Amino acid sequence: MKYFISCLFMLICLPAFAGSQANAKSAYSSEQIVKFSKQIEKYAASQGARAFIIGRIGRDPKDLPKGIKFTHTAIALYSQITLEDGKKVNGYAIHNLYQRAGKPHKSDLVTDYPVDFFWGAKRLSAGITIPNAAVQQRLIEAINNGAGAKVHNPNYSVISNPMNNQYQNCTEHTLLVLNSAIYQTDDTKRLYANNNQYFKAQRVRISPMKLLLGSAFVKGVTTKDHDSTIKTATFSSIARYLNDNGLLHKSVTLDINGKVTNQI
Amino acid sequence: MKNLKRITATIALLTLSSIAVASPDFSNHSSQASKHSALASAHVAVGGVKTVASVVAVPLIVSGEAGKVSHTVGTSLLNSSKAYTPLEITDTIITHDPSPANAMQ
Repeated sequence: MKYFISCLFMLICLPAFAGSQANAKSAYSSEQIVKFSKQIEKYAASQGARAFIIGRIGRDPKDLPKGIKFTHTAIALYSQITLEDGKKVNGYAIHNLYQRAGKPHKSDLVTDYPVDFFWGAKRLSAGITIPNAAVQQRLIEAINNGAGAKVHNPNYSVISNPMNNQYQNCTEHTLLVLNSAIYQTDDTKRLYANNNQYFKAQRVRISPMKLLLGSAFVKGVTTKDHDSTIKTATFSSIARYLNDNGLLHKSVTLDINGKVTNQI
Repeated sequence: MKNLKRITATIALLTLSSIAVASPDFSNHSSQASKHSALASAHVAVGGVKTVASVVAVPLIVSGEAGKVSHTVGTSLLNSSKAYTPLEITDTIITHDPSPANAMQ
């Protein structure tokens, strides 16, 4: 009986791993998502952000490991968008790494828009990290020059280690593109060496049993690229990295009620 | 007792497998279809603003200078008084195109 109870306990406590899924089912009405998406765009535009890092909450926050606020991170660029009717408008295009449909251990690069981005959000609260103007300019140049594809490793793990190139998740990819812009290189050996030197990853506090079960049974979750301590790149650790290096303009969260809270 | 262990292990494996398959809400054609149909009706309640699919997005460094991101032009953002000035945002609701399968429906 003890064995039965412990098995059930392990099942109940399976890790609530958060991934980078495109077009997950929406927890909000279309109207709420559309309004929130425009609210985010207008806030970023009011700050004059031409390039910023955007975060989404794709899981119930109570299920997330301590220290992890956002489950999906990407880069938004202020862009001239040509619509299907030929009209040109200005807004933000979001450059993402998403898990592949049906193959969650693989990823693809996808450009979408705020409504697409927030469609799968479990909480309509966004992370907005705006680098300083010089970094923004380099980010735009880097993405325009294809840095996203050059540093992309399609082998996906939701808790990938940003200190090596074995696996990659959306936030590690964001960090690589950011550093590709800062160092003006797409040499991944150099970028990972600099991650080791300068980037402080977020420790993921999940019990070893949960990790064992997750890596054994959930595709897209592995600890093979880690040593004993699990650390990964997060939206907040990227904000701290920019701040520590004097490259941050501001980092905030913006919720559905329009409340802006400073992150740093 | 041996049988109980075997049954428990089987239940555990089956349950874990179903969780592994069901827990991530991956993109698929049906969820994309539901998004696009939901968005198609959303504009009625969002101030009559249309939902439009995009064709292409070109990053802007300085408003009105689409695609000019060379070092020469790009430096205009560096040290520029325009660096943090408010930008114009369309009211149009933009979404990326549906999959080919949905486009043919």
